[in-house]
Amino acid sequence: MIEQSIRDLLRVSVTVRNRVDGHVFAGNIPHGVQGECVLLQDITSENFAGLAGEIGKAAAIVQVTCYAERSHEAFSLAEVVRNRISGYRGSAGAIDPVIIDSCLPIGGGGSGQETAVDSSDRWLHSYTRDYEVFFETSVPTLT
Amino acid sequence: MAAKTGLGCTLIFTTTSAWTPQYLSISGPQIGIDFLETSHLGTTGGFKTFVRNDLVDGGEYTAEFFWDAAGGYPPFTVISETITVTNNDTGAATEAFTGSISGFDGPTRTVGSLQMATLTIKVLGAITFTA
Repeated sequence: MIEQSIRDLLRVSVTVRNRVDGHVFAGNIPHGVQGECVLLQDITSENFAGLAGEIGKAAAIVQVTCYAERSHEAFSLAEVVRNRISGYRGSAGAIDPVIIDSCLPIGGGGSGQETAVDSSDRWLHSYTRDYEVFFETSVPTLT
Repeated sequence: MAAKTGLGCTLIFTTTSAWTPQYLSISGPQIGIDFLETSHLGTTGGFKTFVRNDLVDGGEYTAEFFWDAAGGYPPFTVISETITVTNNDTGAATEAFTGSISGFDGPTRTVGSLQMATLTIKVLGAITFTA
């Protein structure tokens, strides 16, 4: 799953670790997480095919949302993420690594504001940016 | 006669068989038959008249493929070779001919999309159709 590979790519970055201390998640944010965090979600993906079938290449839109207590902090965290992955080409992922051909942001970013339910709710601001990722995949063997 | 997609169709160069791109599409043949006008001042009926020319032009094949520089370039320096197109029907019908590359449109290298290139092959003689 490409979002997990990019998650791992972020987690191994010292700059990202210093900022969010490993709070980079794919799919969902675990209950009880405190402090700033990054959430990655695979929005859509496509496996490319030719006349011989799949060619071992895929593309996905990965949505990256950065959460922080203040809007400018959410944006700066999104910039830390962008600095790490925008333009990245190479291996990514701790388990079953994939080869990324291209990872680039698409469109502009966007900020959102969530209303606190009560005093325990820390997440008031988020900044979201989508990335288009081209990567290698396995070719089906029909077995 | 059943309709089919192109999945499974192949195009093989017999001599330069090591060059095997991942084709996205194979179009052809584009056979052309000329007709010679036989109308003259005495032609009646209000319509022009024609006779079919003796020879058929085998035309061209066009193939679009995913470009990977590591796979090398098409064999456009080869004067001619046997080329076989195999269809994806039950009997794997083939079209075999002597051909030569008449055009190569290299990829547009841009972000956000896979690189594609296009090949044009001129048929140099007869096409052998095998069902």
